Amino acid sequence: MKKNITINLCGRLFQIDEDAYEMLQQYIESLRRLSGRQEGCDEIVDDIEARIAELFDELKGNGIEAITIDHVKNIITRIGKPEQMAGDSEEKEKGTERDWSEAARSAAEDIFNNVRARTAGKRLYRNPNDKMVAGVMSGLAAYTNTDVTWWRLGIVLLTLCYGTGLIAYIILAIVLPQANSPQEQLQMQGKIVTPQNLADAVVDDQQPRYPQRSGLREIFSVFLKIIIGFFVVIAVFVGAVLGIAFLGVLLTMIFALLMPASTTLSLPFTLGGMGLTEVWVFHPYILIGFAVSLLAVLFIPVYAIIHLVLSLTKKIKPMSVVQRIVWIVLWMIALFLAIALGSTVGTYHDSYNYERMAESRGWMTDVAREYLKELNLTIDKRAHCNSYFVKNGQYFTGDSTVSYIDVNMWGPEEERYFQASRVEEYVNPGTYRISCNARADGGGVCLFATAFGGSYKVTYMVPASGNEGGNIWEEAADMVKSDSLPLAERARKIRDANNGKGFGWNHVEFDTIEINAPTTILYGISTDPGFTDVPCHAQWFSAADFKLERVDDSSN
Amino acid sequence: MNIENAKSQMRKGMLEYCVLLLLKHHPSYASDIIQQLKDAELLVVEGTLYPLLTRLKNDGLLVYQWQESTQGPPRKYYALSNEGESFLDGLNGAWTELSNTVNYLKDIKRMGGEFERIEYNH
Repeated sequence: MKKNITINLCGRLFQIDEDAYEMLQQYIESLRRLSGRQEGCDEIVDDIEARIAELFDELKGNGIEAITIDHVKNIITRIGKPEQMAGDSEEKEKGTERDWSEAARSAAEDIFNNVRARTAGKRLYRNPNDKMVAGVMSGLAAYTNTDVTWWRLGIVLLTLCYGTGLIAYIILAIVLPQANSPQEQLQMQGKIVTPQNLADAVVDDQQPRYPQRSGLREIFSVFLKIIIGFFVVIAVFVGAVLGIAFLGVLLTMIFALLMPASTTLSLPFTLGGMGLTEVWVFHPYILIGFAVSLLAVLFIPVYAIIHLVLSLTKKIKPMSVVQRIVWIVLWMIALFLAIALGSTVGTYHDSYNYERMAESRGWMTDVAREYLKELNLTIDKRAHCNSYFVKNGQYFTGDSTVSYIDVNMWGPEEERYFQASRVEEYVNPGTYRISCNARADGGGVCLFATAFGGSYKVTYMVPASGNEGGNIWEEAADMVKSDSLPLAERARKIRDANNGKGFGWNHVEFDTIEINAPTTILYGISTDPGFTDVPCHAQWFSAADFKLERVDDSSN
Repeated sequence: MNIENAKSQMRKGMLEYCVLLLLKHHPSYASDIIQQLKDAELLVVEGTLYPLLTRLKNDGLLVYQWQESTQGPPRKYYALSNEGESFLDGLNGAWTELSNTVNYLKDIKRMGGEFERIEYNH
């Protein structure tokens, strides 16, 4: 039993078996291609179609209702192979008179054609009939006329060498076309495309294949399938991650471009938030180029995966070889551009960041900047101060990750100028206490507070304990002795962390700030004589935990 | 070189001339021509004829006309054009010469570097 369809050939209807129809179509297609180089090719093929219609009519006249594959085979044999027809006009031309150069040229062409025919006879395809993954190895085996098992074994072994085999396989799977039509399958096996061969291939294709399998091969196949399954899972995962990344980058870029670069919102996905304001203003094309190439790097694989899935579900045609190569090349270009432009953008980002810091008379690392921003501290300094003035560790709390300001000043005494200050706006009338933890050398440094408008100014010199002792450590040592206080644990930590030395940390505070009318207070730590009223020229100091608290009962 | 191949080469050379001869007296369509050529054993595969007809038509030696058929699709009836007629006359002349030459060659025997006519006594 066979499926039967009705075809319209030169305006006449014929009932024809599906396989017979396939074969007829292949035949006509190959005629069209092979006679394509001749003049009036379409006309010739149309005439032959008309002839086929006539022969079908004859069959109908003889009482045959459905045309079978045998009828079509007969007709194809009768009309002849495409090469037989193509030969006609070429041979005629050979008969005409030619001079020697022409003869030589034609001989060269013959040789060329011969060579081409020999290589064109066999083409490298992926074999869909015998495949584990994409049929690449089996296509290679058909091309070289060898056993596919060795190829598979080879690629698995190659994969063990840092994944070389896997990469080679993926590239081949992308580049090689699949031998879908019977004609391509013949070319894959190196058989000449003749009506008979085509017929065989078409008929062969209808029948399911049961390749012979030895036990070893079976085990090998199961083993391979497990590996393949593993890679498929990874591929799906990578695809999902890429897709999400693509959407993320897309959204970020839309936000970044829509939000004005100078926006006060420092959302991480605005240009301002990413520290790219200046890059956007001065080098917009580099930023746009980077954005586009980054999108392309992510978009191309996502597109390829979507295309692949759709083509596997037969919704659209799979990509041609040229398309695949074009996409791969485009992706590589995009990747190259993304890396190159990305590093350029990065360089600009850093240099503008440096400039921005230099403008605000401070140079700092991002970590330091984050720390100061968090504490709402502003830094003013001269050049003779340490660039890296925020440090972690060795801190009196015993927590080595806690940051504190740590400054070294190595200029002449009168140039040792450093100030970390904080502004407290709209301070209500009342009594306030200012405190901080600090240490300094003998040169001294001051904790200060000053009200805007000069209503008052207080300063307090940080005790110079040098690098040992300090009241924090002493207090902690006492606390550990009594052991019953709630802060004993913290105190023990402080004592342990400071390794019996204390590192000179002192708790400094003054609670005599009387505010009579709402005002704004600037307070902090400084070596600037304009703020301290006392000559301070410490060579180093450390400070942390700046606090402004109200000490009188605020409800009164 | 095998004999079949040589024969087929000869037939191929003759095909164009024979098609023109067939069409000289009455217009025919492809299947007619095929039948006649097959009867004369000049044609092995039918497909050879179609490129030939198209080429002759494109060279202006043949013209064709569509005619409805009582059975099957409409048919292309080919006939000689005026140019084709004169072309055929030329070929006729060439054929006469060729066949004379062939006959002559069949009847001589090569002797001492010269050709001498041999009289056969049948």
